[in-house]
Amino acid sequence: MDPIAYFELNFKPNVALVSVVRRFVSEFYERFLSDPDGTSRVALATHELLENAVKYSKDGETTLRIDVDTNSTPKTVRIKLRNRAEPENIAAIRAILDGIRAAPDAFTFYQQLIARQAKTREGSGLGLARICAEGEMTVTCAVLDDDMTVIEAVTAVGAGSQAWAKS
Amino acid sequence: MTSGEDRLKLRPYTDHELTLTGERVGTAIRIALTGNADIHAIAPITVFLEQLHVESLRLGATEVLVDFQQLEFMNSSCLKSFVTWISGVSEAAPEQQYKIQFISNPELRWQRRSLHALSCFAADLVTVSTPL
Repeated sequence: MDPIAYFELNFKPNVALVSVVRRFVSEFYERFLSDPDGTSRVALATHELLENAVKYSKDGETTLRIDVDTNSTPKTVRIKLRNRAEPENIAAIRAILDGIRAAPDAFTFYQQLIARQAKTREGSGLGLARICAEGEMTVTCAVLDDDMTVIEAVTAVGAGSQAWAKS
Repeated sequence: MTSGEDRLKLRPYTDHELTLTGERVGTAIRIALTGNADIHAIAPITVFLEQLHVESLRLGATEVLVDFQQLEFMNSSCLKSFVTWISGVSEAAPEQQYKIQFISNPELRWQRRSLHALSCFAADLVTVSTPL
C-alpha cells in the first residue's frame, strides 16, 4: 500500500458545510486511524481551519487536503488548507503562530490567549491556538503569490504518539 | 411551592442543530447543550449565557451545572462565549460568585481537552465531572 493515504477537497465552504466535512473526517478517520483521540483532534483542527476559511477567504475557494503517512510509527497526519487571504488576516495568523513559538509551550500560550480574549466582544481568535494546544499539532503558515495562504497542521496519531499515551 | 419571582427565567433555544435548555435544581441551575455548536451557534449561546448569569445572580444560585453530555462539538468561538461568561463570574463580588461544574461525555473526545482548558482558566470556580 502507498504509505501516503490522502483525500483532497476543493470547494467553497459555507457554515453548514464545515460541520458536514468535520463529521465525514471524524467517521472516516475513526475507521482508518483506529485512534479515537487522534481522530477527534484531526476533526477539531479540520473544523477550525475550515471556519477560518469561511470567515476570511477572499474568494471562498478553498482546498483541504489530509495526508496520513501510514509507513511511520506513530502515523503522521498532515492537514493542509489553501486559500486566498487579505494581508491583515495573514498578519493575524502569523502573530498567533509567532506567539506560540515564543511561549514555553502551546498550552501556556493558549491559556494566555484565553485570558486576553475573555475581555473582547468580537471574534474568538482562539482557533489556531486551540489546534496547537488541544489538537497537539504543529501549525505553520506559508504565503505564495502574495495572498495564497497555505496553513499546515501536523500531528502524530496512534500507538507511539505522545497523545496516545495520554488518552 | 415556587413563586413566580423564584422561577428561572431563561429562554430555551432550539434550531436544527442545537438546543439550549435550563432548569432550577434546588440552589443550583442546570443547563444543557444538545447538538452541534458551530459558527451558527455563537449568537444564541452568547445571549443564553448572558441571561444565565443575570438569572444566577438574581436567584442567588450557588452552582451552575453545564451538561455537555449530548454536545457533539463546540467551535472556538462558542468556547470563547463560555470564557467570557466564566470571566464575568470571576469578576463578580465574592458573595455573588457561583461554582460552575461541566458534565462531560468521555466518548466525545474533544471535551476532555476543551474542558480542561476552561478549568485551568478559572481553577477556583470551574470543575469537570464525568457521570459513571
